[in-house]
Amino acid sequence: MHNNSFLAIRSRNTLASVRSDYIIALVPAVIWSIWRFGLNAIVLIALACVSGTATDAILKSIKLKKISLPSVYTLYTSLIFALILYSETHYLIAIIGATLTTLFIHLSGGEGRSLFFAPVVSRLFLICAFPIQFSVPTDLPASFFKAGILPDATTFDLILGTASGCIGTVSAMAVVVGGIYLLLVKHTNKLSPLAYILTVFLLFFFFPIIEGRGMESASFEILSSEILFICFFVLTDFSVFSLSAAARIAYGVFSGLLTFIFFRCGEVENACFLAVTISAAFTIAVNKLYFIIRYRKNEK
Amino acid sequence: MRIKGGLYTGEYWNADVTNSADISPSASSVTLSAYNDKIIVKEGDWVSIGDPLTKHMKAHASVSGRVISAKHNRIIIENDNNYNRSISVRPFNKRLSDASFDDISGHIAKLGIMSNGQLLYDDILTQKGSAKILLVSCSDTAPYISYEHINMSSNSTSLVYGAKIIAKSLGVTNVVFCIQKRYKNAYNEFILNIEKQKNMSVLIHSSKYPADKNVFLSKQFAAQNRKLKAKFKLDDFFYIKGSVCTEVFEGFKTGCPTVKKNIIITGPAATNPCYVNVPVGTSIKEILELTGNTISEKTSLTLDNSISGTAATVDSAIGKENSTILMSEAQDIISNTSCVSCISCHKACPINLYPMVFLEGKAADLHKCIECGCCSYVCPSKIDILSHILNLKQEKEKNKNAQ
Repeated sequence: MHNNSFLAIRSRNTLASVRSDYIIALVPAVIWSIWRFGLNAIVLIALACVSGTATDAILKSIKLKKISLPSVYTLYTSLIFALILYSETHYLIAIIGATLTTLFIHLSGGEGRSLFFAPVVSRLFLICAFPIQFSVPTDLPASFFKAGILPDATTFDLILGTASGCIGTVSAMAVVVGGIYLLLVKHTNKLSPLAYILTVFLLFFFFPIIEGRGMESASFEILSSEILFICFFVLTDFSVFSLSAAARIAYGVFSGLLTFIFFRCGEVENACFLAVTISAAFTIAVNKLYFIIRYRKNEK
Repeated sequence: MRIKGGLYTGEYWNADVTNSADISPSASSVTLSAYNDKIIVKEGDWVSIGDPLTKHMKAHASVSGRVISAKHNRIIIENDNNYNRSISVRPFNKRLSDASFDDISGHIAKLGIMSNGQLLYDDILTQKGSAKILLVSCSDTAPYISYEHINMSSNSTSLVYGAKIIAKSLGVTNVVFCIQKRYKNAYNEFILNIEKQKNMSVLIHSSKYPADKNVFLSKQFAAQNRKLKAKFKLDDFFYIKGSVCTEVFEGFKTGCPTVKKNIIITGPAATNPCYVNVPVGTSIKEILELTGNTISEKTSLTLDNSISGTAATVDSAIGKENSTILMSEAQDIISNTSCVSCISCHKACPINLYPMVFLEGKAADLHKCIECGCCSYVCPSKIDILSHILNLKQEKEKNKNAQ
């Protein structure tokens, strides 16, 4: 029997190096959030990162019965959680949310085991449990748009990030720069984000909020809400890679469809996150079916 | 006897950057594998170099001397340093053009040459008639050179004639030598010589991943020959290493089976990288001592290549199929060994399989796996996927036999 456990020649990529690329991709968004929102952003990010990684270290130490360092993935998810908060959000939400995020990761079996993106799930839970402490701004551009009124913010404001929104997602430019970096280092799953953006664009184009302004509706929706952020950082989580190509496309399309429905019928601040979480459940089922069929065919 | 060898140092094989080792081609004793064949010698028997030790010629004495042990699939011979050659060793005495399939295959059977983990003779019998192209691989596992390189430069004639013999035994007319693109300029002369030969050609192939195997090479050949509009199937190709072709030729020329191997000692922990010619069955400890290579507690030894090679200890012996001792520092494996579903292994797999599924014990596509080790190489979690696959294959085989 071959025993390869001493093989020392391996690719230089480690989990830490791959995740570091994702954190590097978030740097433009972090820099912009600090520049735009100042001390609040710094405190939220710092509190989330510290509490998330501390929770990971504690849980790992309990599990392995020795002192363990937190993983880079926990730092990444804690940072993501911080970036999808608002600048006026209570600091305690950052601490609780990051802790819940790490707990969720551990309960689901670790990195890449769950299609439900932990920071998004934590955010949804907390915004329902503590709506006041979340301090959702009243001047979100998407809220105006949903009411059929053109907001004061222009397309340029949305691209640059001078309008209102989550601290990390407010600047479309910062998010896209990070996304381009991920594309260059070849860590992205392109199918789901493309399917998602295309679905959202087409739905808002053909069924615009403001009659006769399909192009504006579609582009505004993409720039003003968290769609770009979700494309580059949520739909590219490792767990999505394990899906078949068909399942990945289905994930993107279904997320887009639900985003459209929730935006029209629900609260704009939760539309994208809720859409992605619910479509994850649907996609898990599709993917399981695909592998059952594939392997049943091969076993025959 | 001075022998030159060295480490791969740059884009091209630089024969000037070498380390040489004076090595006396003897060993105090040799440990030979019987390859699960029936052992026909017993303790106390005296054997000569080239004497068959097993019923189906899988093992031959590589030194002359007394048999100390002949059990548990191993034969240990104490070397008397007399270099007595067996009387059964006789060169092949016919012209290749006049020789029949039975003549050639019979001689190959007597030589007991191993290829792809089994007797070359068995391989030829299986694929005679169905193979249309002989693929001779002169590639190796990057970044360390193997004997294939030295073979191309110092034994090019033996390599070519050996390939002709195998082609004749298979009834195949087309012979293709596969060389990695990055070595193309270093072996220009060899390539030009091949292209002058009738029915011989060279396939320059890219090598994105460390290991190349027959399926990958076949696909590359098929991709580069689309103009011929021929549809190639895997069974059309017979795959063989260049060093095996050389062994075949030497065996036909001298009549002696493979009793000595050219072994490259290389790797980041090799204090004196070189290549040596030693009897089959020499222990790694003796080879390293004779070549002046020191090992520490942290040194790990691998036979053959860094991806699908075999872990070895200093007491392991060189087998007929081995050609490299890779000395490396054993890395501390990162503690996270659980799969994160990044599907880097799927992207690396030349057969487009999902190796991570094998980690869960699912074996539906297992038979398609060619054990190239690319999945283990790229895994960021440093999971030894290839070991899992090999264990799973063994289990499947056991269950099949049990039924």
